[in-house]
Amino acid sequence: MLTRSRWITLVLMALLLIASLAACGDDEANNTQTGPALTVNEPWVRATIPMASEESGETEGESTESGETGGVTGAFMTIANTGNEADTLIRASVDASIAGTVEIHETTIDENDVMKMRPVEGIEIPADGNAVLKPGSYHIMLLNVQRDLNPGDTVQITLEFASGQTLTVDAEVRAME
Amino acid sequence: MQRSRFLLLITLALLVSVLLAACGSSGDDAGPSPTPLPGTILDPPKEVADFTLTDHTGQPFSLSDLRGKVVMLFFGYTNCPDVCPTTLAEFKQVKAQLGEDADQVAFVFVSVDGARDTPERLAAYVHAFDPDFIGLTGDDAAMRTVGQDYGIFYQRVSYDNPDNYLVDHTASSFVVDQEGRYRIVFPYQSDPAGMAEQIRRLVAGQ
Repeated sequence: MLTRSRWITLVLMALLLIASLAACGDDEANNTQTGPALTVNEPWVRATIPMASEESGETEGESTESGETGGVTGAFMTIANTGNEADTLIRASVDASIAGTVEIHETTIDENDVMKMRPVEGIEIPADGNAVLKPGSYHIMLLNVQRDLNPGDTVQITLEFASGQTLTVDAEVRAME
Repeated sequence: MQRSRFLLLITLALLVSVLLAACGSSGDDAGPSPTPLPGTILDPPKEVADFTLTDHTGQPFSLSDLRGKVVMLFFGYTNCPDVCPTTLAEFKQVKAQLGEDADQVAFVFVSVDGARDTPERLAAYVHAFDPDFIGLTGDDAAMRTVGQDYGIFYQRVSYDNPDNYLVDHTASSFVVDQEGRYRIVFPYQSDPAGMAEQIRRLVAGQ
């Protein structure tokens, strides 16, 4: 026969076990909704180099490399997916008065400390996970920027996903440093 | 009967402790271990050739113009949205960490994209970080020579945007001492405090 105190100990132990299991597991909201559920956190854009006098004034004849007229900068953010299906960021855009071209790029640093930046097809946001766009990793590249983007400005960015969903976010411009 | 209950109890206790251990952040803080300094020191220092490029004011500028100062060099390009600004922001932190010793140190950004990085563009770029930072640019032939001494790799990469190209480049920073000898290489994203400490030692003649 088990003594009463032993029984209590047993029950307490069992409770502890359950409690620790609960604390450990991710509180998976057993949502019935299926598909990706996206939110964007802390979108920001790096301020551009202040170009007081626009270079276009000095053009002589043909403009061979039009890409060099406007500056470039990057947009960064965290895209969270609380849904149970992955999604992919496939396109980003801004108003033409901000930048002529918008691309999705990834920067990698190889084993020789060489930085390589490449356009990518898309950025996957895993189910119940995040995609982090940050310096030295994925970013949205704004090219042929049409005007100075100064700290405190806001840039509206439209994000398109493979699922067909579109999100528009207001990204705060932060100082270059 | 009693014995099996006992076993159960012990099993449960073990399970709980295992789970708790797995759950909690591994609390093995073995005291403050000294963080190793980030740079690789070249011993003996490497003799490097002087070079002359064009500075951000459009004037010729030689490395030897900085003789007597410790020089921190980074090779990049202004159309680089993330790695280059990150590093220049770190240079700014290194300068702040150096305090009064910062007078003895020059911070130089060398463009590997002379085709696009005009002196005006460089001036705007480096001065967005610090008015004392120096920007240098030059044509490809000049840059190749400079790059060889420091083992710099860089390469233009075209892609499906005909108006733009990208430049792969070494993201390390390099330190040259007061006599113009190459002394330290810091990998990308080295800790600014650690870099400042190693530079301070050079300033102190160590």
